[in-house]
Amino acid sequence: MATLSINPMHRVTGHLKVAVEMEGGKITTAHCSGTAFRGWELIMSNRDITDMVQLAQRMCTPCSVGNSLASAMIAEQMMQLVVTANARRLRNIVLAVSYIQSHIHHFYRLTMPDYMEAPATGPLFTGQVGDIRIKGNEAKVYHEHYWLADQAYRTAGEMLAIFGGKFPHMGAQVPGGWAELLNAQKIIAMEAGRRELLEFINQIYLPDVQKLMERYPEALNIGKSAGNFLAFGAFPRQGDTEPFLPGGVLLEGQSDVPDLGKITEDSTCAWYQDGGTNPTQSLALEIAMDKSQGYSWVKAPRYAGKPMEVGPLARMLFKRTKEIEQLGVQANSVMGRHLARVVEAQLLAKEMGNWLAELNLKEPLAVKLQPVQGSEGAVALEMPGGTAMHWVKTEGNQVISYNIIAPATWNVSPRDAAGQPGPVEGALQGLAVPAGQERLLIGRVVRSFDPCLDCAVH
Amino acid sequence: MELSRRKFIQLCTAGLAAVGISQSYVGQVAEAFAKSVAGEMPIIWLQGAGCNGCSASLLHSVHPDYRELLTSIINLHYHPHLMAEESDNLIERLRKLAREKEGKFILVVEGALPQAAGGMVNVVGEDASGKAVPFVSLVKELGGKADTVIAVGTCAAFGGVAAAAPNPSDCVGINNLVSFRRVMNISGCPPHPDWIVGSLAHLLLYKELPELDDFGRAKMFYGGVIHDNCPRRQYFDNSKFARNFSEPGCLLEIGCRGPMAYADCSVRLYNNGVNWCIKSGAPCLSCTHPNFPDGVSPFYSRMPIIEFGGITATADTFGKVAVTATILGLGAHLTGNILAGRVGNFKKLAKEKKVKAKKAKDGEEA
Repeated sequence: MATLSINPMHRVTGHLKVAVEMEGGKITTAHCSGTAFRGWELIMSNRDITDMVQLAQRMCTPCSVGNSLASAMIAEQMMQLVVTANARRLRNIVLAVSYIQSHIHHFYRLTMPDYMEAPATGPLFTGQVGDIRIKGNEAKVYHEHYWLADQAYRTAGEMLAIFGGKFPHMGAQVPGGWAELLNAQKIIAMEAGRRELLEFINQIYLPDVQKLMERYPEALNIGKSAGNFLAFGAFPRQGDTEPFLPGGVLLEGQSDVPDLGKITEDSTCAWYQDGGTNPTQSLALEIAMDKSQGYSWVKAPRYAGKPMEVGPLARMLFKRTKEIEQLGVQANSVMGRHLARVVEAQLLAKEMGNWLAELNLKEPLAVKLQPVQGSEGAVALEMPGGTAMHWVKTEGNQVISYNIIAPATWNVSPRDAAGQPGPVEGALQGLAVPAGQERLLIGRVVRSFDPCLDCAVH
Repeated sequence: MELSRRKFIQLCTAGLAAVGISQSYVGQVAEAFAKSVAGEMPIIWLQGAGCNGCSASLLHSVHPDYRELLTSIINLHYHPHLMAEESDNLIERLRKLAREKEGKFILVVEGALPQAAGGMVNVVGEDASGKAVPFVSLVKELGGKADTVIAVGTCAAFGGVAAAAPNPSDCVGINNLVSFRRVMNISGCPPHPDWIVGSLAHLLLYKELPELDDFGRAKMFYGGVIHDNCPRRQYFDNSKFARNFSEPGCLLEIGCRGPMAYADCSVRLYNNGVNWCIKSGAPCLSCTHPNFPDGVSPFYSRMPIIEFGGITATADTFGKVAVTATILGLGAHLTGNILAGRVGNFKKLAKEKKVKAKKAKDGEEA
């Protein structure tokens, strides 16, 4: 039996190690380890609840907008505030831009080097070795697109700054709504940015994903997770009972409505002392690196006891988009995930136009903050990487404890007490890895989940 | 074309024109780079206890953009989040590069340095024997051989949010680790891309660091206080304060730390100049400050007590004093400096005066 340890794994966010055992040219077992711990929830504790917004977003950059909004929402829940319809629209818009930016960044900067010959522009782009099929002139086109994606990424950054002040780490998203004073100029600038992004998605990003699917048809058959999907839904719209991206649960073939109460968090294989599995309580962050079963700083969240895949693929399955439905069972694959991302980006870039048009210059964006009423709160929110949950306990305005399950916590989770591997680990099992291609193929599967370890561990 | 150091600093210093450093790169600076920099001084960029935000900020650089930056300005050899390659023994290769280029490469550190469990709480890779390599060890090792170690972001420079109470992974900033040949800090959460590019560019073009402040940051970017050029300054001088978010008025009452924030955000603006925190209604968190975030939280409460000039004053009194100071013609800038010098247990006022005197003298000589 051969083993391989990829440490560090590049082009993910944060610190990831992937270790596999192989036999007969196939992966028999895989272990994903988050190798860096910061203890973000402990840092967030014993502070004013309004501070959470700024601390949560600094946990990680790709989902920074999502995490800060989740923290704002939890503060509003505790203060029993209802944000204005205008603020909700604005939040939808900003969150949607963060999805689009994150997906573009992920496809071009993090994914494409696994499939194309690298441009000869410095040591950073010494290419991957193995079965690379996009070469020569075709690769040159992709290289140009890589730089066009860079422009689109910055355009999205400008859009986030137009309403948020700056990006990364915006300032204007606050508990109670938004600190901004709205004006027509800003809305027009946002609309111009939206059209630019939509143009990029239609003309460049989507065709690039489709071409990649043609060049690597077998990538629709690899990277299959256990097929359990979870999303809590995103982008609520006034007057509609269902948000723009509906939530859902697909568990062992059965559809269900998502329920926060069915979530547990297991730390059997995480380097922490055991602290139970109730996520509203579990804050056992005392380090225990000598644990025999421990191999990651990521805990193992489970839904009804099962590991769940979260992310754009889950959301597009529940949205029932035709592009994903056409793939049938092949949707659950490396290329299915890339396609789901671009389809989601396109949907949002289109829909955002309506939200921008609905912004009302006269309606306020912020409501006055109130003292905290309750002592416990919970929020689930969809972010670029997938669904995330925040739980808080308070005494007055002071946060006593904070617990987060981030999107990547689901996807890169280690094994649990029952020995069930996490979704990425599961997707690697059985992968055929011809000699010399191991790193390339493992990288393709792992990166299709857009793992963010800064989020996953926090 | 020769670009004098003096001219370069002038170009970098925002306030000359609202467009700031970015636009100025298009012409003279880019030309100077093409001739003198490309191919020199490999850069190794390591990430520790951070959020990738500083790298993401750099990716938002406009002039030069990421492409220009990589192709004609910096010689980036290693960046875990961006590099295409994934192969054996990368850590060994970094070590080899450091040996071969000893004293001739730059180490960029992003993220704080966690020391808990001997640094094993933050592992950035493994060596040829499969042994885990902690971030903190690799920084010590490579940093010891680097020409300059650059701490990008408040975490790397001072500990930042990663080192906030109760500091679970025992994080420190670069200056509290070991001393290196040369260190430059580029604080901010995250720093403006111009601060990163401009500070690096100065080092590459002139083989020396720009003039640094007491906290090891380039004075051309961190020399002034946000408050001095704040678009809401008039409200402050007239004591018109916003009490809630999304209101006009000075943001002091809802937590603005502009008076203690050394940076040029107010004139440089972010993301291609579209906005910055205060312009979007967000109180400044003073994210460039060595005490960020613990020294400035709760974020949305008024700065509690300010000591200056032997007086302990609340923010209200400060407002009055500042107005008086302006009337007396002392100028807002001085007031701001005195104030900031006293807020975060900064070095003694006397030292600041000395530095100022020296600067004035240097200015005369030049």
